[in-house]
Amino acid sequence: MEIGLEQVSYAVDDRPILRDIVTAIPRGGTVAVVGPSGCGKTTFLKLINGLVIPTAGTVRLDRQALDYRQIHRTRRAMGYVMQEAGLFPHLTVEANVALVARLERWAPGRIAKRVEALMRLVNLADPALLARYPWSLSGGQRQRVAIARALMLDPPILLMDEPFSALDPIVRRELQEEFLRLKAALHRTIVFITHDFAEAHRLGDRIILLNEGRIEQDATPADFVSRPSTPLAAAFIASARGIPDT
Amino acid sequence: MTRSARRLLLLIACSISLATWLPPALAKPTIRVASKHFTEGYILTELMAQLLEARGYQVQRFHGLGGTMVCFRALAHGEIDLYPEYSGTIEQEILQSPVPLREEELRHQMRERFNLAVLPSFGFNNTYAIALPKTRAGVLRLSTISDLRQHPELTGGVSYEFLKRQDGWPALAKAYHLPHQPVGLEHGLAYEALRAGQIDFTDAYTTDAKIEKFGLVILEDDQRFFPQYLAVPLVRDAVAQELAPTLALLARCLDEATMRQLNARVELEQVPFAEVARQFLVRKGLVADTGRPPWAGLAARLAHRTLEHVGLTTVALVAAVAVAVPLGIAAYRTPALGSAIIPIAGLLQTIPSIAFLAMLIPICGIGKWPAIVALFTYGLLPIVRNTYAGLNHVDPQYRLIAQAMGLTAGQRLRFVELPLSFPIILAGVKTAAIINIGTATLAAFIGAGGLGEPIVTGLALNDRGLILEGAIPAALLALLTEGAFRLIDRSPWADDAPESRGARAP
Repeated sequence: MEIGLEQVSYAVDDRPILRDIVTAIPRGGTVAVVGPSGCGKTTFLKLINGLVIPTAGTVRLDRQALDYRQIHRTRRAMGYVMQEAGLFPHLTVEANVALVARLERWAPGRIAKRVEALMRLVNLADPALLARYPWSLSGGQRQRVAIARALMLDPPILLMDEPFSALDPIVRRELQEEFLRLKAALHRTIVFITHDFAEAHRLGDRIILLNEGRIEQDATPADFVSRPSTPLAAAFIASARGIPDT
Repeated sequence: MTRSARRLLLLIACSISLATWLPPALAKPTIRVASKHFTEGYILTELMAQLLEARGYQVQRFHGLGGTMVCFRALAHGEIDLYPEYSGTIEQEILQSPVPLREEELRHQMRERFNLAVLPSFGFNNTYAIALPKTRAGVLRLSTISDLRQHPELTGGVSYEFLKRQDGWPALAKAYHLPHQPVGLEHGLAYEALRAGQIDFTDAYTTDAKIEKFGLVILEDDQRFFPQYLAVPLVRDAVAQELAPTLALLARCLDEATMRQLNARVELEQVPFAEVARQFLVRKGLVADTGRPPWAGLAARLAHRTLEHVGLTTVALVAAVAVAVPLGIAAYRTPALGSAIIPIAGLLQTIPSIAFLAMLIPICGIGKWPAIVALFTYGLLPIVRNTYAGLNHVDPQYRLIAQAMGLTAGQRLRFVELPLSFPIILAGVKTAAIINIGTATLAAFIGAGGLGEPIVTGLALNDRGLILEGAIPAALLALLTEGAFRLIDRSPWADDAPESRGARAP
């Protein structure tokens, strides 16, 4: 599914958060959104699934403007993963992953099959895990379950808000590898937010740098590194230097 | 135990208490008898009740229903069928007659104005009297009420009813020109206060068992101020025709001395009033001597009352949950509504329970329903408040992710917000349950039964044993409820990780 933002602005009490955002994310593309704290990254993500409604401009999915009255239907076409996993503490792993499918009234057999396949996909094949509650999982396991949950309805779009930031470096690295594998296997439109330029560089087909609510640079990782358009872009690149693989 | 098993247990417990609470045989007509809250009333009512039972009637007892106006209104509204009253009280309090009425006039007016029948008297005149310790009367040379005038330094302590009623202290003081300003106190305590020297005289009844026990003398009513207080059955016209022949068996069978003895058996010898009534009826040959008392043993009595109590509480609690949880949700969803609902629920909570129960009598009558209405009302606030607080304390990240996952507002509430606030809502339900168990003991004042019955009777008869018979099981019941709620609250997802709960207590 293609995502289009046309002259989108968003303000709270006349305080602009995002200004005149124009961008298009093609079907199957993976865009990493980077920027300093408070630049509007999370709002950028929330515009796409209608958690915030733009004060000006239009958000389009496959050229159709978002229908905010039936927004929950649209949201089910978008998997959402957040920093702290956000697994519901009162539901087991299985119930967390299967929740939306149950709301969609899938047959139990279909749900079981899908959950099993997803758990294998995120490398949590042990069936004993399904009955556990989130508190008993490690941080990495939780994030994997969160990804499985986001993929339950096989959504064409995946939105991820700093999905790996809270993990320790080794687990983070592991999940990044898996992300690349999933990305290749699933071919979804993915928008993910990170404050880590190295991660953006590794995982994205494109990097969007937001600053004070505006797009400061929008380029492929290679172009970004070779031709930073502003001092901030250069500073971001510099912040990742010295780390191998960037 | 799994969660569903616990839920099932809870459901079973609820249905059992409901089933036991529902009135058993609705088909048979039942005679509803009441008494005012003092010993003699209990005995007279019990005499009539047992006599009617021996003649095949079903009898429902509302012992210690209240003072004159409560009993009379209940009778006039058809909530009860009969209770024992005194002719003087009928004349002064009910008919508010400015002149003394002859017996036929009294009967006529009661029939014309209220459709009530005054049946022939039990035979004794239990009029008011002023009593003081014999020794004191001797020293001060007091023998008549007129003599009191010479001793304005004496402190009176009289029952609240006597202090307030028109034919009571105000009229007496006027008739005899008495300067005293007596204090009001519970009638049962007046004798102890006399003995302790805290008061010098009190009002008494001529059939009062304690007159002799406490070594009191009655001052002569030298101006014939006190009217006749002949004890009579006051019966609804609708049933009077049918019951009159049976109740006539009790006419003129008690004189003052006999009544004083019966009162003494209950108050001084601590014989249960039902047993005193039974023995009297057997002695008079009015009922057959079955050899064992007509009531069940302590265990059965306790079980019956406890079930009644649990039934009252459960019905009220279930209704309160059914109303308060949606109200709490509405308050959470519409903050403007919330700022109205919570204070209103709080306001209802502050109405004193006894006053509230009394207010409900004209609307709901007496018995179980007004009690349930009152308990229901008291249960609302803790549940509404906790539902509202619980929902507001759900970690916003879960609300956000649920929204992002495409859950509708209703689905978020059902699958995320309510389950996460369940422990807090449950705590509110628990508070309501405990409040209800306590308040339900007061419901016995309006004839709702339960564990309050022995407490109310015990208070009226100044019988500590009887009070404990209600108070101890009520306290145990509250503790048990607390424990039961703790069992339900053991959510598996929070067992070992309380910090992982989605909501924290406010």
